[in-house]
Amino acid sequence: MKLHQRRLLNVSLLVLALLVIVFIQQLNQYTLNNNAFFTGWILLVAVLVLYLFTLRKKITGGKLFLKVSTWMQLHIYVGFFVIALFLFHAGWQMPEGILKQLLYFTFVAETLSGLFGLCITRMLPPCLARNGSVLYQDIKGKQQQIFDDVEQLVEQSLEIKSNTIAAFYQEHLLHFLLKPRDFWPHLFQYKKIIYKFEAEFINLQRYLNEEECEIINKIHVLVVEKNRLDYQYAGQSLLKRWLFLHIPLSYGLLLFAVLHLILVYAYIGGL
Amino acid sequence: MRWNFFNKQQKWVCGRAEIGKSCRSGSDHQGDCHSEYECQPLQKEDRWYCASPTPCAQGALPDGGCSKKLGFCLPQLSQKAKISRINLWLFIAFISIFLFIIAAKAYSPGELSSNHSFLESECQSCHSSGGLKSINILLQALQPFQHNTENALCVDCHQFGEQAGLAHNLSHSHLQALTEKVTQQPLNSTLLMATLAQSGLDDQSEKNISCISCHHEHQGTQHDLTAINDKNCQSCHQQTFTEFKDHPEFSEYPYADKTQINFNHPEHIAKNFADEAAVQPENCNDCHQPDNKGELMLSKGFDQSCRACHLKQIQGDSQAGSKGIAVFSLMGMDIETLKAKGFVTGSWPEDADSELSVFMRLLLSNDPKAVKALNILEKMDTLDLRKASNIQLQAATDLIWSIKTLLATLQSQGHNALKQSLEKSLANSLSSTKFSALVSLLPPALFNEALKYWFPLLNQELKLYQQNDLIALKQLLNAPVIAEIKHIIPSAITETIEDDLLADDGLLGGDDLDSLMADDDDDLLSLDEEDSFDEPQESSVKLTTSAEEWVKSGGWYQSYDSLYYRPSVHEDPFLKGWLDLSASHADKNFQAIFKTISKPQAPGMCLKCHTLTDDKAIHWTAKRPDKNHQSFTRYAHDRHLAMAGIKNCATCHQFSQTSEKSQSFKSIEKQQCSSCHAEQKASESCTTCHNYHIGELKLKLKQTKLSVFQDKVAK
Repeated sequence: MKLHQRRLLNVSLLVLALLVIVFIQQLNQYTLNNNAFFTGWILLVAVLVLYLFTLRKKITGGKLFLKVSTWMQLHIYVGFFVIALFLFHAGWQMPEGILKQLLYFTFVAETLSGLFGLCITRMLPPCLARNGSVLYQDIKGKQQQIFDDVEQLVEQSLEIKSNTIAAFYQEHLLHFLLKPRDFWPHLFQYKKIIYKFEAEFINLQRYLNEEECEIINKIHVLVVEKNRLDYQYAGQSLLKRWLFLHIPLSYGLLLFAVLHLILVYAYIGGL
Repeated sequence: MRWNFFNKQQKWVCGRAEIGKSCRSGSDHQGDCHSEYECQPLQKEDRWYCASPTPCAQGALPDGGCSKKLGFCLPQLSQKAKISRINLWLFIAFISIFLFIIAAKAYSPGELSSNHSFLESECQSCHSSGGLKSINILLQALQPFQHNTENALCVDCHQFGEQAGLAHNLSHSHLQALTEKVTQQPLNSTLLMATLAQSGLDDQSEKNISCISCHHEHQGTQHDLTAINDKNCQSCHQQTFTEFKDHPEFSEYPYADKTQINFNHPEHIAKNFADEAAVQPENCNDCHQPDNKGELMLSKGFDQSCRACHLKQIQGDSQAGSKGIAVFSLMGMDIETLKAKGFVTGSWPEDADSELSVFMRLLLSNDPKAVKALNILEKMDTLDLRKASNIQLQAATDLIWSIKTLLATLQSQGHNALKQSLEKSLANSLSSTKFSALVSLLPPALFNEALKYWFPLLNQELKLYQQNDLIALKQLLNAPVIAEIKHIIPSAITETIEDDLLADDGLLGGDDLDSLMADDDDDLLSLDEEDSFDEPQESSVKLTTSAEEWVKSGGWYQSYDSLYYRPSVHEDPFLKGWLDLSASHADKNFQAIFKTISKPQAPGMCLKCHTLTDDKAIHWTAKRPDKNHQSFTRYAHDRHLAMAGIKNCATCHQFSQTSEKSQSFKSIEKQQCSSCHAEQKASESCTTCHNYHIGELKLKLKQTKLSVFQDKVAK
């Protein structure tokens, strides 16, 4: 099945499910039943389905439980379903009561983190791939290697009795090369950093002899590579770190939801 | 086991991984480094080889050691371990918040509405689980839902009667009767939805409805608990409509129910104000005003609207015949026939020709002999007993003595005897206030005076009758003096008093009386101090008016064989008391009283205007707002009358000469409302005009024990 066909199918199923919910809600209003109970239970079940994705990821090689990518699709579309259901259940207005407000905030934060994750997992990987893929765990090693290589080239420049490159390195490159830099500018595709270096290199070449030019050109190549690795580091870090927010929030959400459920039934007179 | 940097599941990674120089062996699972050398050479047969993926030039040492010494590193947490650790801390944070909420009982779902805000810390007032703690709350949550239990807590304060949980607080049979009145509506989308929604449900009509179905608390102080969604109404009212234009046509609205005061507006105006334009009200507001809430249009009441013309009617000024009600009256009796046939009746006023009053009948109902006699004489004319059988004659005699006994008892014991007699008839006790209204200050002097007129020697007669000394009784009555007394004792204030009847030198003087009054015959004819006639005073007062006229402003008076009460004011306590007492009483004597005093032309004319409720109580006032009672419809008169589109009351209330209703107004048509109450205009919600809870709505008041008295008792 092609991507657009799959998306069309998934969106259709999602809309259909929501229409069924709306219809049942409309029917419910004619029975004096409280719709909040209906939407609440559906919401809880849907949230538990979202949790199953985490569980599935922990099971390796389980063909019986569908592919992880299929679960990912399910997670995304059930997520959208849950957002709509939550709005049916809680409405747009901020609820009253500390617990309900905590639950509301946690859900909103969870939702926003999920939507953010969905955006970056769809947008960043193609950009990173175009920039040349590199394994996340290799990035720091490669950057260290670049640092060592640049230092070695600077030492070479000192051997030809000139400290111009060394001074330039000290002043402009050392800080840049020591560790991954410019996390946020890279995320926002801010290119001025590298353009600034480019300009510095061009300016410097006027003061260098041919041998030094050869060295500085090599350093220039390494700096560009470091910049590329920084971009990869920023993108890949974000792809991993958004889960630091999304997953713990989901635990809180489940806890508060269960407490909410117990209290509702306890104070309304039982199940 | 050594952990590998590339193994995603490992917790620790080599400390040199950050700089891309991780060793092959990595850290152990406790985060300790054991790799002093770059690799751990592998042995093949009898030789050692470098195990690095890029074998070094030096190769392995002959003893199997690595030739590249690195020194120990400081292992770092793997990426996964870092995530797990952060997750753990956040999870602990959430658990802490969770526990804090439970410990601090901070799980209120929101502020209570302002009406219930005083219950903010008293959860148990509304929730059966309100006083529970921790685990018990969980257990309560797992209990089967019992909305009756929760409803009971609501109706503990909000009292809707025994049918609190039923729709509209009406009984199932009442609801069924109402449902049958409703005509079938054509199928529409709303009806289809409602039918579909309830197709899977049992018949709910006899089941209790949970209060929380409509009233949602904890929505903030400003939340309106009574705001009801129209669809809640439509859950039962399946012949539904979403717009007011589809509302069923009104049926005799708002005149379907009887009014509390009979008043025919056009007839009254035509009859009374045709020639008296000066006193004619100019507009509706002269007699009507809205209540405090601006909903109900009230009458201003008798004093402001009716007194000027109708007080005299109440006092009987224009009354033909007697202007008072005969309370104590003696029936006419054919005494001659009774005497002729040997029945001893004692004295009986010769001028008595009335019927026994309904009040007397009630008082006699406690005397079995009198009851029996009255039954026998039910359809007889007691003024002519010539053709009566012996049984009937005996009954007449018995009735005479019962009446005398009753009157003598009332004379001697006064109000106590009257109250006991009434309570016995009622089979219930009477409060002092009620009894006071029923006797309305009956003057003892007038009562005694009447008795003296009717039965001058009542006590002597009764004494001899009770002793069965009929001979002495006959002698007493045959004494010519007594015969004279019967005719001469003045009748209270109605007759001209000219003679000193009881003077020694008068009719009671002389030997005849002396012989009768002598003490030698068991004091039969002696008069007790109580019984003795008052010493008549010499008087020559001549009344120029009758007793009836004398009490023109109301009160008691005697006329011949009857003692009357004439109504004095609007809300006359005597009439009000007896109407209240007799209206709903099933006993035939009470019914007879009610029939007598409730006639439109009866003195006081109370029921000419005041109507009866379905329970046979009397509407003593026009409709008044009752905060404890709610009807199905409501209408804000003040807001509507202030609107520019409505000219005046007659915009809606138009006289109808053909209507049979007492108000004679044309029914209000739906069209009059739907011109404004339409989409994009005025509200079309059900609850704009209808209340859900119908009938008695009360708030239970708290009982406060007077501890100061309890303390005294304790001391």
